[in-house]
Amino acid sequence: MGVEAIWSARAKAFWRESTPYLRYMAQSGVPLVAAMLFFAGAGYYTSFIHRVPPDFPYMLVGTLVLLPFICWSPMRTWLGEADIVFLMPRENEMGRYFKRSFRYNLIPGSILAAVVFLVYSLLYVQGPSHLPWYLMLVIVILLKVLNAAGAWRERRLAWTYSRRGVRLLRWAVTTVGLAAWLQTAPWKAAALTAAAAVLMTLLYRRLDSYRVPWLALIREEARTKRRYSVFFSAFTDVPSDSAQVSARWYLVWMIRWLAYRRDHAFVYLYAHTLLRTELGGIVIRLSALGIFSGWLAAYSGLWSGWGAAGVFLLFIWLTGLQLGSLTQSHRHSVWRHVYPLPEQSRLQAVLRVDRTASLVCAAVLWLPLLLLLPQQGYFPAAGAAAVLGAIYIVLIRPKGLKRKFTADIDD
Amino acid sequence: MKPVLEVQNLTGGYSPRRPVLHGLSFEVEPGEMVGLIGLNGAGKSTAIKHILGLMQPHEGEVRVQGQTLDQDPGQYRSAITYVPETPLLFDELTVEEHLRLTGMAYDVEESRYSDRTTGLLDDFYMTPKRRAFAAHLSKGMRQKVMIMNALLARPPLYIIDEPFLGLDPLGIRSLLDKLVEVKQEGAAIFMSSHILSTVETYCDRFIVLHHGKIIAQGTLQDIRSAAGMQREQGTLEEAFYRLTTDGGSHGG
Repeated sequence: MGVEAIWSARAKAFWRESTPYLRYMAQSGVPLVAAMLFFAGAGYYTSFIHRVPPDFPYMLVGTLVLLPFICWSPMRTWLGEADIVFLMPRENEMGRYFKRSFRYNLIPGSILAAVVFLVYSLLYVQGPSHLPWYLMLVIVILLKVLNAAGAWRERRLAWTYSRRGVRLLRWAVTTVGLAAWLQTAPWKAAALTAAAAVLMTLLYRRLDSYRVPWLALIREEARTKRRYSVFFSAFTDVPSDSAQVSARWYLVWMIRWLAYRRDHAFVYLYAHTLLRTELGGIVIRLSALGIFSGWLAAYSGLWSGWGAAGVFLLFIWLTGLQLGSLTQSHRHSVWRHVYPLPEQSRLQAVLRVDRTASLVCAAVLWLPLLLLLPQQGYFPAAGAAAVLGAIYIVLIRPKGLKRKFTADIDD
Repeated sequence: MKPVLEVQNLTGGYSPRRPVLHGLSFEVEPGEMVGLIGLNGAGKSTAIKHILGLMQPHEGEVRVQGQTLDQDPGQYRSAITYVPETPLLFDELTVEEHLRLTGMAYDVEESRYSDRTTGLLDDFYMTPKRRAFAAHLSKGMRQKVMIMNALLARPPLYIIDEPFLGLDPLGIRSLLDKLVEVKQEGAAIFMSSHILSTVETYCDRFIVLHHGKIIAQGTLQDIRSAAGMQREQGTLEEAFYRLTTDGGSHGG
């Protein structure tokens, strides 16, 4: 079988496996909420375009909005551990395989960057730009291609610290280049971009690299797959391999408060599961996004503060949706049966960890409402949000979790 | 003396129609180390899973300290620690956190837990790795974590499945020293292994499992006799070889 056929078969297999989960996600109501958010955002954006303040920081906002879409260059390779045995001997043919991966990621990535720019272009045309919007669109795609190429060279670098350092440098250089294209004369921006591209190429050549970075690619692929499975596991039961773990000592120290007692054994385990696995990462990112959205809604006093209350409740529900996957953790572990602990204590542990985490998330999500709404006279919205959030977490959530936990055991 | 582990007429396996184990009966006394030996696929791991209560017997029963699992799950489970053939670690816990979890689960007093943890980390040369995650440990180190967890709880019965796989010579020595120590304190050890020379040196009795049946059990002398060897002559390995390659007369 040719390497390109292997690539196609693996890509097809991934999507075949994912389709049922996409269906579950579609049934969950998340797309509906996303659509509502999209239309609300579109309405807000349209009205904003007609009353842009004269001191609006076009360059800053443009750079911040476009940068992640241009710089972030993930790559699906479908590689697994076994490929060290089966595909590594065919390393000479692998160029064609990786070309498929490169195209697979670059095309949707470029389209996404272009769409984001087109949305932003409504602001861009009012700003201090020197280039017509359609030429700037070409520049955005060019920067995207350069970044994807740079990201591939970074994957090949032999040492972790050089890989991280160069990635940081690429993001920094792209930030400066993009800002230049958005603000200064095109010839200056072009000179800067060309010089940066040449210097980065020289730097990549100078550093130790692998011809094919097998281990790094296998790790990246495993990480991506885990992210998909953690995401899907919020909607249904997903069989998953071992979890991706981050030490997160800045959070884990809190578990030391938990007393050393037999009935805390499972709480101790599940608290680490939450804080150290990808689930914790997702909840943290979601909370950050929730604080940002809540802050925007509270700052603008949307719908007399009720907009911010809605955003707050929406994010409590979303973080709760993710936290629910805790019921699935460790249910296949042999230690569940070997430890001298009753099964009921596992359920109690899940409920306790979920309640604590939900309350902490709710507290930080509520901060923008507390700080910004009362001064505008919208205290009722802030108060009602807190009460409804607390009722949901303390009274409604445990019932659903118990049902999910029992259903999981019956499986 | 009352046995810690009693297995009576145990028949079991994954499907009631195709039992893997056929009528096993044996006992393990306090202060005794019993070696379970057999070829690949003989049913050693299945027997261990039945003892742990992970599988339901088709017939017969397993008692730990006189109780079946159904009679008193709490006491049954508290009496056993288990070292699996393949290390089964939680990815999200460090070495030290695994020990703390085990200490909590087995209700080891906190001051004892601290002393034992320090001692075990030293004995198994794992002190520098106490804050490492499973993903950053070699296979042998992961096995050491399993062994340390079992030894931390100090139960009356240790169930140990292939403990020497991947262990370095120092680790094997530390494990054997510790097993002798807990045995002298009165614990019972039930261990399966393919390293017959070590089993012969350290175990008091042996159970030879072949195609899911016990074809010989007892002291080294009993095994030799079952293999048709002369008194006081020959090693366990030789007796095992004769018992398991005799053309299948033992249930093959």
